Amino acid sequence: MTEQFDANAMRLLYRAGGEKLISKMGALFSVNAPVRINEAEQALDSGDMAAAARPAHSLKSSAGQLGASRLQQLCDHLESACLEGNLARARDLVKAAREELPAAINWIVNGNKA
Amino acid sequence: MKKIAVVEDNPDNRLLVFALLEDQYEICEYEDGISALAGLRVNRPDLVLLDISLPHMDGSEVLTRIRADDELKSLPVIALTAHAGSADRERFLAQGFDDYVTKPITDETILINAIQRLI
Repeated sequence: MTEQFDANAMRLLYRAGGEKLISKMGALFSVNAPVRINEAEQALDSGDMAAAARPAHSLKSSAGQLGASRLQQLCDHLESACLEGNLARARDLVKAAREELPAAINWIVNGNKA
Repeated sequence: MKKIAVVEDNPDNRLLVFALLEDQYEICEYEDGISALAGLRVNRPDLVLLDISLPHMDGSEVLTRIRADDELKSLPVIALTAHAGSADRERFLAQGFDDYVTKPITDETILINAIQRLI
């Protein structure tokens, strides 16, 4: 299983912009990540798999950049399931991503001191 | 100072790219391809960092329009994308991108070197 978090990702952010950058990115992530999951879930509810893939792709990118590796992997698999039209798997993955989200936000906001 | 246009819908990714490049380059940011195409004509950069998965018009379509525009077609354009499959690099280069950098950015020198090879 993928490590839950990646300290190397955080080190890059510290080099780039220190605590200030991490704080700004964490604040954006805390607001936007739940929105992306809601968007994916709503798209799945309406049967629009392509529309569900987009927020999954976006959240995969954000989570990976912030070192939330497990959420990144779940979103990667969710994007793939959407593109393959596998609705049952996509529903499972969006649920898993939602469950992983609090830990990811906590890592980014509180637990990331590199 | 040379100017780079960053076309990226994710605000957190824009923040990071800005932080990585602001000391060396002037940065112009666009949230989507349509606003970028309009902005590139009036505020021409030296290079474009172009996300692929953009709302309304994806990065590949934006590139097609840049290459079809006499004023913009010579601009160096780097794909900046989370599409990181084994065939993606060749696919994007075949589309006409000058280079390809994957997200998440794990090593800032990869991005900076790609830029410095082009401008």
